[in-house]
Amino acid sequence: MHVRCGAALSLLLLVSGCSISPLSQRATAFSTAAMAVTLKAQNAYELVEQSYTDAQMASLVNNFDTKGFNTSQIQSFMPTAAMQARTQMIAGLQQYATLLAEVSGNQSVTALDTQSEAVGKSLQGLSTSAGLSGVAKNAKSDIGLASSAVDALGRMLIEHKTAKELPGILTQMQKPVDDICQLLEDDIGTREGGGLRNQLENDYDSLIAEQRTYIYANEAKMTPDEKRTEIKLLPQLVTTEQQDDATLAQTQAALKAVAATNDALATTKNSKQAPAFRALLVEIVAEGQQIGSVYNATMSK
Amino acid sequence: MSTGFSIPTNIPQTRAAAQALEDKLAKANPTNLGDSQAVSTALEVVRAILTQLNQEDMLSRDGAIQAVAAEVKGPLQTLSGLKDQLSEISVRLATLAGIANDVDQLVNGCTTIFGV
Repeated sequence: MHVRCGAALSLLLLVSGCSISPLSQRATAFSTAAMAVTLKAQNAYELVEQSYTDAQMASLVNNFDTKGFNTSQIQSFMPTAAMQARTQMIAGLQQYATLLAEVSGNQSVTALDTQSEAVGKSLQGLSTSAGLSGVAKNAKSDIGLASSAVDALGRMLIEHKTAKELPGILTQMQKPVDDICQLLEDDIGTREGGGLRNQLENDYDSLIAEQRTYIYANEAKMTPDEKRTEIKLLPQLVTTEQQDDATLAQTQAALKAVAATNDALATTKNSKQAPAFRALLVEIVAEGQQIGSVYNATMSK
Repeated sequence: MSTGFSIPTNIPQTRAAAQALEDKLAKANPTNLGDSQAVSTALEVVRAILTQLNQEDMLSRDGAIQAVAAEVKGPLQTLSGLKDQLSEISVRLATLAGIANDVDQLVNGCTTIFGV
């Protein structure tokens, strides 16, 4: 809700006449929209962790009588270091968006400087870590490319910026933001070829098969109503998988749009009007709202 | 011995073989407990292999291939053990036609690539 209001206010600011420069108005609007998308990107990983855990639980329940339980049967999908690398990159993008808004607002940025510096330093540490090599390989990108993008974003966040530096920040950050968004998009992958979308589909296939087995194994002991409830879960699983996959695809598209809009913003430094930028911004806001409603429904289950 | 199929010789081909087998098992619609258990177990082990390949894609190359080799060994043994039962089920479930060949293709591909 806050994000929706923020997005609406930013768009209002964008179309209203006020004393802030057109570029600063656009940067503020972009910041709000980009912030919303980066929060969704983090949710994408959590969605697949949840489906992975659910599939393991379903198997555990059906096989408990013969296999029992040991702790190694329940594991997370993403290794800790790999997940941490992604979380840090997403935090870097969020901090970049925050910085744009604050710098555009022409206000004191002391508190923000401290926060940006901390995120920037963690990104610089990440640029040389093993976790990043995993992200880069997954994205089928050169490790040097990923490392440079993360390092450049980290450096920019550490430097203390003021409003007059906004055009320079936008130019400097075009490539790093493009590269980091591309890395995250590649992580989401495709249904058939790997990545989070493929994992989600396979997890749900297992969940459906395990639910069917559970019904056959226990139907003799179920009342008609209990059996009906269990059977009804099968189509629900199909629907949930379709919704979650669509959400991952939308998150992927929104990340692409963030990179494109950041590029468009950088090219409007000397323009009063920026129709191409506005069109992209509207696209991000719309996608962000759609994604948000699905993640909220899924995470509250 | 002619296998009637080409053995995967790289990770993308092995991945494709595993995904094709997963898709076939996911489309099966067993109507009794025994068949359903066999299909569930087969799906679980193929998913375990695909998960390893997805994770391998996210980790650095050297360490990851060794990790995959260790992690796919158990699922492959389970899958080989299920082959006869899945072939028997395929007589009743048309969607599982050719399942024995699909299992062989995946097992042989993993054996070739990961040396398990």
